[in-house]
Amino acid sequence: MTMLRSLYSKINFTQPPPIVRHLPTSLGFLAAVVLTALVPDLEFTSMPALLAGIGAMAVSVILAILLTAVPSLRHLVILVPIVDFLAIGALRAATGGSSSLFSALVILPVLWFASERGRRYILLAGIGTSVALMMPFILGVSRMEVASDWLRGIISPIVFAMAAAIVNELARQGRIRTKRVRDLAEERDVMLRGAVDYAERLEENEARLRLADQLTRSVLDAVTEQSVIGSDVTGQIDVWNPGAERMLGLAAPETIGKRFMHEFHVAAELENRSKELNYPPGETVLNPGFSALVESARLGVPEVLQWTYVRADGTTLTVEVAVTRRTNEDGRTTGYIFVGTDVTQALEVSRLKDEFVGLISHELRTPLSSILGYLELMRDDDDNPLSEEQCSTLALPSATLTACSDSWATSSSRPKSDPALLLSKPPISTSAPSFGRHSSRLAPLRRTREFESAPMCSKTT
Amino acid sequence: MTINAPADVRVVIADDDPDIRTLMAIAVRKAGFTLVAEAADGTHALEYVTQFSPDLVVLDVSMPGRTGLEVASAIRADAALASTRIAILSAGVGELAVQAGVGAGANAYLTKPFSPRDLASKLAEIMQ
Repeated sequence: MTMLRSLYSKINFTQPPPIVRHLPTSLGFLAAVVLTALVPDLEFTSMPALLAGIGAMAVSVILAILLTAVPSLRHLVILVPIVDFLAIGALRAATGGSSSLFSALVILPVLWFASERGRRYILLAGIGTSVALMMPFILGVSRMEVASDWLRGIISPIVFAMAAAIVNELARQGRIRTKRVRDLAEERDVMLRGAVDYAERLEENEARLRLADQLTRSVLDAVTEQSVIGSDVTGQIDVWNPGAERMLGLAAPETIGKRFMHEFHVAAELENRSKELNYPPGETVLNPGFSALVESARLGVPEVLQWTYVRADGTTLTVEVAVTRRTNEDGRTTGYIFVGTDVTQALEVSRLKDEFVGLISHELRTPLSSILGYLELMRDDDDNPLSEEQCSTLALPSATLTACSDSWATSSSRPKSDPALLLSKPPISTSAPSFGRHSSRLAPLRRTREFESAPMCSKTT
Repeated sequence: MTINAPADVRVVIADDDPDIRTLMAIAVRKAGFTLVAEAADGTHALEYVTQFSPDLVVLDVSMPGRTGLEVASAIRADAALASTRIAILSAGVGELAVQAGVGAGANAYLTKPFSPRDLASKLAEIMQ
């Protein structure tokens, strides 16, 4: 039983091998021979015909086995039912001729022919049937005595041929359906493979994106001394790094998608800047203040300005903010990035430095005025008790100190750290006095050691 | 008031340092102007200016009482002193200091140290 199941599972019923296709015919033939031999009312009427039939069936079985074993000879498979027709015809002749009980066996090779691809097999099935039915007369076992004898060789084959035609058509349609199903199955397989490939690619891309996102996030998270804030074109915040959290006192979930960039600025500063830029419409017409903030970056020019940030608790801090534009693959602006550096401490240091330099300058310049002024008076006096060389000896260090003081003052006043000055042009005209010329005038003084009163800087309006 | 000669120019000077005041006075005289008052602090300087309505005021910035800048602003706020010229003479040389002086209404911003001779010529230039 197990062996039969195993055999059954190995058989391909879509395209069965010749031995399987031949099995019903050979078994039917065997059953007919056995029945005739065993049943008393049945008898073999011609032993030569029986032997011929058994021989033909043996040939047919051997052919079926051979063609099953050697697939390269499979094109000769049609020989099997041809020989079957001969074997069944001989059996019919051996079991009573036209009155044989086993004439119906001829249907089996007819079905074989009918199931083959092509209409010609319908004709072959008819001819084969005719040969099988006429075999008693061909072998000389029976004689044609009435018209029905030869008519049987015509009418029955026609009927069998019609049955073969129907089976042939059904088989053709079955093959077409099978092909369609197979094509659909292949198509489904291709689509499935495509879907699997797509899913794999998607997974790879997701992994890459996750990696890139992690990299960007890690870089942003590592920046703790600068605030890195991103916004869309309307100013709504979509990036908020730990530096921004530290600087402005709000965590990312409290700001991303909920707050706007201009909310962290002093409204008056934005208004002033808007006024300077003649209220640029930009891409954020709903928010003129934000437009002023990003106008330069919007036009493609990154901008660094000092602004006042307003923390969550309402306190303020001065920051130097670099504003740059974010673009997509098409180069269109998708938002802005604001990188802010807290310069409050730097401004305080600068202010203290200015104060210190101013104090030193004042403390130095006032006594120098007395020294140089009185030296000049002494030189103008005919009764000057000092020689010219002594006067020059006094004047030279005084001039050096003046030059030093000028130098400090110049370096101290160079960086304009006051945000108010940076945001608006100073009212002073460009004809302000130059404070650095003492150094250049000191050189000839050193060469000649000739007294020259320290020059006086002035601005006259 | 019409100024016909340098001697007609009446000057008030103010500085908390007496030596500097002396040098300022010498410069005023070298320019041929008439020194009408010297002040050692801003409060007195403004009193003298109000009292004498001078043609020229030379002010130090860092002084007790009112600073030179405050005195200059007060003078500019007084319509009766509209014609008074103001010269700031300061130890401050930064751009901000100059802006503050000009902003207070000074006609000239002069820096220390100075030569009496140069100061005289500058004052004369201011009054031209």
